Amino acid sequence: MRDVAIIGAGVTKFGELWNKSFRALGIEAGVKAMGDANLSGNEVDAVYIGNMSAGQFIKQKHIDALIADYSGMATNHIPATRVEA
Amino acid sequence: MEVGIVSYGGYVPRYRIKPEEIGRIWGVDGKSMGKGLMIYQKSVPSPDEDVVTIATEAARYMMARVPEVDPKDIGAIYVGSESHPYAVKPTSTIVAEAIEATPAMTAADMEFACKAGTAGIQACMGLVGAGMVRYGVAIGADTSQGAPGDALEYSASAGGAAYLIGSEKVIARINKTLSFTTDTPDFWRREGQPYPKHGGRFTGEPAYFRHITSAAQMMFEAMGTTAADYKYAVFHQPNGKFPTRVAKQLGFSDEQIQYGLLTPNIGNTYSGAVPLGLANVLDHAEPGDRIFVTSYGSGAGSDAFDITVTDEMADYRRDNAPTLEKVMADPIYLDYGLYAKYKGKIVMPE
Repeated sequence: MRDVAIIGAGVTKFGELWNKSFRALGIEAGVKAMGDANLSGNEVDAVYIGNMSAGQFIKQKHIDALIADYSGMATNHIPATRVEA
Repeated sequence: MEVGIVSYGGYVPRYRIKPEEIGRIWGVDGKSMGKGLMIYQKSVPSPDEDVVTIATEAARYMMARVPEVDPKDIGAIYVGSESHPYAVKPTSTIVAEAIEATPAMTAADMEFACKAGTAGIQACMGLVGAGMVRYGVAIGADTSQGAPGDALEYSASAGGAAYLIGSEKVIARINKTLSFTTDTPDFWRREGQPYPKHGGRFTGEPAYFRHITSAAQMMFEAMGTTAADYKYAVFHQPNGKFPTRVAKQLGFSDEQIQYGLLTPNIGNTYSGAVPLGLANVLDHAEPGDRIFVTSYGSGAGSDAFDITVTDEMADYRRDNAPTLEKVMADPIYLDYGLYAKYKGKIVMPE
């Protein structure tokens, strides 16, 4: 097994963010992490979105493709997966 | 042309239920729920009451106070509610016949959650001001629904008030009205559904507070006033806490909002709330008193009014109909079983 590292991280504000949508929050955190790691979208091989209740709260479970698409990576044809535990 | 309120009347059903009785059924501390909401009891319509009967009662009190007004001179009537008995078949026409105002008139029902009544007042102001009608009637009334076990069960109540808008012998001149409206889905009920749904805390800051403070500030700016320029203020009141908080935010004192705040005593009468609050203020107001009114309806919007009581109020025959204090006196308390029966919450055989 080779070594793996977290090379960038991004965090949004936590709170009652009435003016922000689910996808806006997901993209914001992702873009901040990419910037922190000095990566461009073309260098990403796969996207994983961790989420518990989007299906219940916003009636949208297909958030892996949603976030990847709205982050501008749709034409890169990389796998996008939703993770819940 | 001076456009304003020529007469008014308000009605609240006689039955009440207390939050501790509701809490008893659902296994929660109802008294604390009531304290948290600042609602100590709410009105319950009896089985033979609905928005039609409540609107008619209020309209009849309104007409009794102006015996010199011929109901045939009423050119428009709008009943605003979120619990009209019919989805299709207007409440307004039934009330219009009951007060003998038909047939040479226009009528329509209005819906905008809790501000359907004040929306009707604005429409009547336009028709009167344009010289299209001599008098217009605007009524806000509701027999609102609270799902069993939901927080709304502690607040959703019944009542309504009617306003005769005209330009002759005006007892309270409406100096200005304006509104703040956005597409904000904080509270809704689909066609055919018995109970509404709401967005929990979303109904607070981005909904109620945003719209009321925006409309109020627009009004202060338009009229060059601050809270200190008004004797009384009336705000929409889904519970006792929200209006108390928004009043403070806008610079109003507890004394100024005292008469206009009825929810702690009768619950949230939805489209009837601001109309009833204003009616209670008018029951106590004197010539020269200036009144600041801002309603709120989910979905969402706020209608603001700047009102001045005229000298005509001294001759107004208010005692030809019971004041709200008399209407709300001597209530009858129900247990949850009777409450559920009266509100149609029990599954009856077909």
